[in-house]
Amino acid sequence: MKKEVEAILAELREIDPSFKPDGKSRELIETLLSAKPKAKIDAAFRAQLRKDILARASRKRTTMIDLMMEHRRIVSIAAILIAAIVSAPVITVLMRDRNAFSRDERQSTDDRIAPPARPEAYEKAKRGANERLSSSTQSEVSPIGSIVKEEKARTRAAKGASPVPADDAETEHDKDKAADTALAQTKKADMRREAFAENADEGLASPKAAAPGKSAAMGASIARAGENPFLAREQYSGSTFTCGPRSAAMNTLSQYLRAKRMPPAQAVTPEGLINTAGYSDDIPPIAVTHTACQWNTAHTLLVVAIGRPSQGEVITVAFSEAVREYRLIANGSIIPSGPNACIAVYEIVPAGTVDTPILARATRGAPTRSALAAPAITELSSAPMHVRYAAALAEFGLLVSGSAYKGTADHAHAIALAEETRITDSIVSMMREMKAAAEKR
Amino acid sequence: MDDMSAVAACRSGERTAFRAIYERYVERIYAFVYAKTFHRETAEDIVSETFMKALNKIASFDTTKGTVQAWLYRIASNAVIDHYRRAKRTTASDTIEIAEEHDYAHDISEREAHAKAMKLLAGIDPKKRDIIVMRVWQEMSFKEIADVFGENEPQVKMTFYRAVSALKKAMPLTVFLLLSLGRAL
Repeated sequence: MKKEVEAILAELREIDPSFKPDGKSRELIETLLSAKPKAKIDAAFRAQLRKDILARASRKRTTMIDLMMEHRRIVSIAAILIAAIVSAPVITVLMRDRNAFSRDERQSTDDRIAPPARPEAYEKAKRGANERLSSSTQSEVSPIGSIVKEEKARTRAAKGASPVPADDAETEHDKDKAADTALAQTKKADMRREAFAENADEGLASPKAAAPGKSAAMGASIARAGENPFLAREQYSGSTFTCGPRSAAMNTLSQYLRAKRMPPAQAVTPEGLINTAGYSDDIPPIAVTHTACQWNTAHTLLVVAIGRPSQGEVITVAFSEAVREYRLIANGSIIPSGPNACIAVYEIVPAGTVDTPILARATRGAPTRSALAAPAITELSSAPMHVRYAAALAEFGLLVSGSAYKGTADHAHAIALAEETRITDSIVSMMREMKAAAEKR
Repeated sequence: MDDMSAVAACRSGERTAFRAIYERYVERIYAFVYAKTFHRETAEDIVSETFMKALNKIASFDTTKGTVQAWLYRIASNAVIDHYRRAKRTTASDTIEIAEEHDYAHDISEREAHAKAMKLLAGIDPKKRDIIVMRVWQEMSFKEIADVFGENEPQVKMTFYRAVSALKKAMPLTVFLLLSLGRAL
């Protein structure tokens, strides 16, 4: 070490000839040299990384997405230019039409010329709406509307005009406007009726979907609001989840099935299903598996399994840049049978194609223990049993909850996958019942 | 296969030539990242990220603007910064920090030396710290360090000199006396 110390001191003297290598300088360099980290790279890690790099390097980069990713900046500029070129004539045409329309409208008002002929269907609908308007009862006029009418009549009387405006005093424009409003109201009412008719079902009516105002579209938006959205890895590179009991869903589902009613969207979630399903296999302290997503072939699944977690234990998952977006579908503790375990299922949107190796590391408490996802994607059929179990229940949960992210999820597929695993028979039979109910619907 | 040939091969589509670059630099990059994180798993993650990123960008690497080694060090350095930013953000939002513990050596004297050096290095700015790490621990030449920072050699030498002077000033008298005493004994 003495030699190294002297070499560094000589360098310092060379940089600044006035430098004096005193005892303190010598001790400082010795301290730094003796603190040199002796950590060697792990041979297994080195070999694995070499394998991953070579696998990625040998993948042909000829797909359009790869090329676009490689030349992102050029592609962005080109996209902006194309958008500008395409939109310029469209905007010009629209502006010309708008000007022409304004001209026509002005002419029509000034010279009292009849508006241009409209399609027969429109005229027919307008006549119908006018009839409905004239036959509407007093009770349909809102109190505020009555007050406004009375106020207008008083103003007219004060001006010496007739208190009630004669029909022929109304302009053609006012009539059109009233007819259009009535048409819009009729259409809205029809849409509400259709939505209600969709919701109503012979034996499987949703208990909360009784009010005619609550449309199916509104139900879907509620389901979406209760789900975790996809998060961009660039903004949220890490995710955490807590191990602990969640609300049970299997019992709720079973109660609805017994009552021959469909559960409301938020009553049964993938999280609740994963939480309550009994699964007997022992799960390792920490395991991360990257596998195929059965309801969206452009996405993949990442299943994080924690064996024997402590109550409220927080697990952190960090994603590499190979992940573009991710969504925590569900996480929960498996309690009823077998050792206590916790499973989280993430849906991944890869930055590249689905066969791109991704790096995701899950880390748990102190002392830190972590696991890295096997970079190569594991086929679902060869994935560990707990992974297939979680994937089956997640798919089933997406279907039952009417998830906005269910893609091509399918009851038959979820059941087939569940049958491969060691999920208890009662759960599989419940899945079958739900499939039958959904088909009947 | 030297660096320039490997880069040329990668550009012409033979991306497996990247293996030569990987084999040549993986240990050095790992040692550099480990010296900045003192955590094995974190260092492994960052090294993986560094080489994957380098592989993706190798086609756009400009050989006239620097060496492959300097380029890899820059990627690794940025990856370390990104890692700590991410860890900070995760902590703020989710109350947990990734890879916070240090894998200190088991040997007590080594651990003490680490602790002292880290305390001293923590007091100087990151660039000076990197130059100390590269020169003293990684035994890189001033030319190589200059390439990493895109500066000329005299500039790096002067920064190194200033870093040593700053450390010397920061070195407490007690540490110096204890070390001297230990040496005398």
